[in-house]
Amino acid sequence: MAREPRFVFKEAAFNAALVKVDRNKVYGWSEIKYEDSNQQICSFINMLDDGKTMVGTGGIALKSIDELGDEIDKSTLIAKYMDDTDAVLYPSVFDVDTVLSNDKSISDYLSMDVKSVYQLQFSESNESILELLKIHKVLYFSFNYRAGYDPDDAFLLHQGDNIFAVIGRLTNFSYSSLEIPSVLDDETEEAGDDLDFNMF
Amino acid sequence: MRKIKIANVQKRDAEIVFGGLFRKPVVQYKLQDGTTARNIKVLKSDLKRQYDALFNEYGSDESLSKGILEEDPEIDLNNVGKIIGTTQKVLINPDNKPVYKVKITEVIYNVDGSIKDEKPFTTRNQNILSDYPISWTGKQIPIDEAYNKFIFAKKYQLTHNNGLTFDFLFAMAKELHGKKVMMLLAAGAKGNEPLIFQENGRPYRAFLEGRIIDESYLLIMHISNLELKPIL
Repeated sequence: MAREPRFVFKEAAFNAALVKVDRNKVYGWSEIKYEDSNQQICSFINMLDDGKTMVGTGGIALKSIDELGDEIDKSTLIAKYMDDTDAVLYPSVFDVDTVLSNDKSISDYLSMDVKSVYQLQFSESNESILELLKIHKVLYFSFNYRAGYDPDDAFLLHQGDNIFAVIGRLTNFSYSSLEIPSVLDDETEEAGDDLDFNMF
Repeated sequence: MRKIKIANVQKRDAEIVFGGLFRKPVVQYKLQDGTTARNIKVLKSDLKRQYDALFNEYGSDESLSKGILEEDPEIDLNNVGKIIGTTQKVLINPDNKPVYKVKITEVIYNVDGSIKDEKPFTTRNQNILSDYPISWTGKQIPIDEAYNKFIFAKKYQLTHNNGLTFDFLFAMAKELHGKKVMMLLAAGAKGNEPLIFQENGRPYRAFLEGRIIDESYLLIMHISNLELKPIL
């Protein structure tokens, strides 16, 4: 049986399994197929900068090195915040109670860049938590799937009788005034699929 | 910051700028002596020494196992551990030969993995900075209803680049703020296409949200390609 985080909101507590909502499971997906002149399926590999060494999946390793270029055992590294104090390791949601709070609003939720979505699966009735979400709309919590130093932001919300956990990173947009337009980051997006959008 | 051409409800358009915000890493990994570690990519084995090529050479797993024990064909002592800089993606055929001319097909799958359609691949052009501005569709969704209908994966803030576009965007934000709604945006000549932010990028639906405080504004373009639907 899947491990279930335990959520706590004031006096209420409940357990629920997390089932990942994958876009492919909702709409399907697409792939690009490349064929040569003999109808053989072709695939991408990495060519190194010497122009002749070709490397396939699994042919490259990621290593950590020190200032002298010697390899380091990653388990010996110490996590530090930018001010050089020791970073706090936050436990996985599966290992401790996850405390929900109602101090964040729909506006906060809408300011979050989303990384993943889970549907909550209950072995018992979800009535009590559903009632809470109908009142508060969103309930905030910190989320670490595995123990880590920089937890994600997360919200519980409901759609009909179903409850979802939406995980991501809150962004602090600043308002633009005539004198001070907001300064924003550029980004590029990876080329993706071309599915019909079934939203409407 | 990137540019986008957007029209308001009166179909007046302007070129303005947009972008996101990224949370910088809060943690760095250090050695015991306080120095910082660096990550590098190193070569484990090239294509000729990876499983598929060696299997073809030896003919069976048994022969390959024996070969690995006796001859170390998987190790290239001259190159293993070499630090890798930039790489380029290259298409190869099953014989591990680079190919230069290929037929490109897009295969679309249903949720159950069956093939729904197969068609020649066509390039998708970006449409956020084209002859046709991104326009308001007139479809307004109250924020209280939209928040749990769609997954707004990414947010981009729209901002002005001169005094005229400040007025233009402030008016948009004020209208949306007053109505407490999100406006569905669309691209294309007919104003009904999803937004594509870069060449061959994914198509997204975009919803514009406006907030104001005194004489400042916040216009957020929420983009989505997923409805919040149960899968259980």
